[in-house]
Amino acid sequence: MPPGVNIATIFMLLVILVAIGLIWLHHARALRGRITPQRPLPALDALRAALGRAAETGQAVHLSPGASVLGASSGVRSAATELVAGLLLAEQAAAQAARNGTPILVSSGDVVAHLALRGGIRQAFQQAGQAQDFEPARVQLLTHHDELAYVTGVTTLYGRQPLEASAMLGGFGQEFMLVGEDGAQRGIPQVVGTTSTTGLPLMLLTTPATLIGEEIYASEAYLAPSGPAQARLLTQDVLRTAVIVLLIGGLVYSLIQPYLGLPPLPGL
Amino acid sequence: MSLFRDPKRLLAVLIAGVAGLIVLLDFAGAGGPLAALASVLVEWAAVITAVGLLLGVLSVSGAHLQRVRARSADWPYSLILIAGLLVMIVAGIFFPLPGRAGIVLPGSLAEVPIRTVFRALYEPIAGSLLALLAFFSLSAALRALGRGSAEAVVIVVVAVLVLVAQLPPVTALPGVGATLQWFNDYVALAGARGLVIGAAIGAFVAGLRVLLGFDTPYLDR
Repeated sequence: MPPGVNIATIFMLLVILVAIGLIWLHHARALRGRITPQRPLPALDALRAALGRAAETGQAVHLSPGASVLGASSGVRSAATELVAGLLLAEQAAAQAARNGTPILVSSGDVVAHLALRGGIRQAFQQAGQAQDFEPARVQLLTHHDELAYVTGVTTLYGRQPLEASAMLGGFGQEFMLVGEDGAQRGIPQVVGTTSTTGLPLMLLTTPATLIGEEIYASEAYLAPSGPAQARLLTQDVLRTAVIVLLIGGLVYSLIQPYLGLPPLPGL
Repeated sequence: MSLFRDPKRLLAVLIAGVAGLIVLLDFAGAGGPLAALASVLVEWAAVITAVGLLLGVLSVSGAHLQRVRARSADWPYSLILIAGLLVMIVAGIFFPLPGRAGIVLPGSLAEVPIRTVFRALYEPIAGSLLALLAFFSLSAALRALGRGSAEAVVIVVVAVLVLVAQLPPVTALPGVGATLQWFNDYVALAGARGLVIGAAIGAFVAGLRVLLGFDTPYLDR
């Protein structure tokens, strides 16, 4: 066995292989239109409504993929995937905005995400046949790897022009309070979400349209009109069910284990 | 359009997928040539980020110079931002320092000039902004109570109880500390773990979908 490879590593690779199989399977199901009904997410309904209203009022909708950076340089590995979830939602929202003629304003706090956003949003406008409406100046890089500077930059955007709504999904911590409360005081409807236990309570205080934890990963699928994007929901549901079954099974096993003389669970 | 009928997209997905797979296998402990390759890829990522940072600086400078030129609203702040940018670049890269062989340029971000600027300007400003959090939290809590949102009311009530429980006379009461610890160890920790597990599953699926090319947020098609 190569050095560094142990049972845990093999188990991890097996789990990854199973997950890859599930992703392919669910993608095929989604292409055939076999999608399970989704429970409503009121926060995303609010975003959809704001995108529709903005087409009539002419006020821009602000989109933000969060203040985290790609890579683990912030010390939190999940922050990168939060940023990816925010990028996907921003591009999906931009696609809807391009179809509706809704003006958007996009901000980012990471240079690599900024480059990805510019490309993705330009493509969204091109696919909607509205390439002439895409303005690169509307996709703004506010800072890099500085969450506090990023939220102060967003508050500046709030003060510069009237906004129909602001959607901020991604990596936010306690610094969110600065922008969340400023937006609430200005009466800007905000749709927010994060997986951070530090940022979530502050988000719930400032706006009722909050996506909690894993809901941010489902947000793009909710906004997407086509079936394949919803395959991720199927995969997440199956994996979540598997984890719940394992947790309950582990609990029951640990309760009966001393009475039946069974071996203890590894690691316990 | 199918991935196999779009060679540009297929090439980009293959590059991203293979690169991600190599780094993943190295993380799993594959070792050998894969470890060396993964190390090279990570270094390339750092270089690409640095180049992206340069593009970002040019983008930000251009946008704010445009605002100054056009005398847009709040253009003096754009001027201050550009001045701050120049000060940091000079302090971090071009500030002459005494060295053994004469004048040398700063070799890292830990050098005195940039540390001085950070300590004198950035840290007080950041500290002031963080200090505002307390007042913003109070304002948000009052607004949330007025809104009557169930989650917000629960958060505010729990926060007030925890704050009161931290007071020395209350902490000295019998059972308070143990009760709080029990809530922390079982109720709060269970909720936090549930949140983290759900988020981890979402992150896991999101990462795999990017590796497999189902989601391509990096692609400028």
